[in-house]
Amino acid sequence: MKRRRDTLDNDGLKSAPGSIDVMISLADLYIQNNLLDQAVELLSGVYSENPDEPRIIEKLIELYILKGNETKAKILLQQGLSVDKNYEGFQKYMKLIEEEKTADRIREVIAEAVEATEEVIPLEELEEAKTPAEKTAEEQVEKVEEVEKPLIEVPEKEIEQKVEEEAGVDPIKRVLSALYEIDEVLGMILSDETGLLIAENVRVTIDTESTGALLSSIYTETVSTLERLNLGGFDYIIFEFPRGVVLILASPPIILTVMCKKDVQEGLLLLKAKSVMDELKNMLGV
Amino acid sequence: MKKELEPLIQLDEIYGVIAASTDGIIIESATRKEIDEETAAALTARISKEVADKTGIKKNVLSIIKGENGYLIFTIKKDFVLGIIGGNDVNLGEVKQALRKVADRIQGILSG
Repeated sequence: MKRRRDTLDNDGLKSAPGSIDVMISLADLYIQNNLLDQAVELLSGVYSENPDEPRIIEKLIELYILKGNETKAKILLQQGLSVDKNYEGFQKYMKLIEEEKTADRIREVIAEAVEATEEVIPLEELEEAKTPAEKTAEEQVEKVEEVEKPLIEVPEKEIEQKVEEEAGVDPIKRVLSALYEIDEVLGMILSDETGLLIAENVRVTIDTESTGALLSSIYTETVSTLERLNLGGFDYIIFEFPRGVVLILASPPIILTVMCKKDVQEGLLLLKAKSVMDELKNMLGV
Repeated sequence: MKKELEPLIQLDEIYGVIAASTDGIIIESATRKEIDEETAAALTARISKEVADKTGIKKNVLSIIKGENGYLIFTIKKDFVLGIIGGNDVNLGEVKQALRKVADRIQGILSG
């Protein structure tokens, strides 16, 4: 368990390497589930706020090559080199281009190295590089009402099995796994008030250390707000995002975060989470 | 705009309703108890920004924050944040439904 809170500050995503990690992990998750549009939307937003972040640029280069748009990939590569000409990821693509590997071969190389994909960067110069077919497709997408997708796609069976195996031997994980009695629950993170990870039990691929630290940061802000509004000490937060629900339950010094699909019954979730929290407090002696 | 907040302020155990810009400036407010509206607006906008910055999700988020003495419930829309402060006995289901409806109407007004 290593501490990740030192990567956070009040400037949010732009200066929080931890959030970049989370976004890249999320994008990979989308890609693995063939949710390419979501991956593109996610990374485009991150890129617009972090145009000098090599990891985001590198991921987008991979996506554009896999999509077959080498023009955009090259524009991004140029930009990446202007940000950091020695960055290993950019050098890798330079080498491939210098070796005049065909686009298909480059795609093969990437596919072997990463499970990655797809599209869109909200910059004018990149707009110019779009093919007519892409522009038409994007115009059509804009006309369609946004379709809500689940926050995280259904986990793979192997991950579920692994979670169950680990829960069988780790007492904290075993207690946490009681929340899986609620079908919509996707995972839980137990951390301390500073964001230090205590335990995790997740059925999906996410960077739990970074996620725990980010949510801890929101928790800290919330505690201060409740005090200033005379609403007393913190009890819980429920965030209803367009694609899922997150519950943060705290009993200092421990914070339990539960991630769920959007159609979870929040009352049931809260009751079960409070029961799990009581058990954890007894177990940890806090 | 004040009229739009009425369905919320009339609900049981609601102390105040505040619509604020995403940078914390009050657009409109209505209160039934003594509440520092400017502070409430600023703090609600601040948490909204924290959520948006840290998650990358900047709109259509509904947050229920429970303190020992009551609730701060707010929804983050594209151009503003709409929040209520209420006591421990608020009917959450009722408040959530009303909050979403009012927020959509205000968004419609602001979008012209």
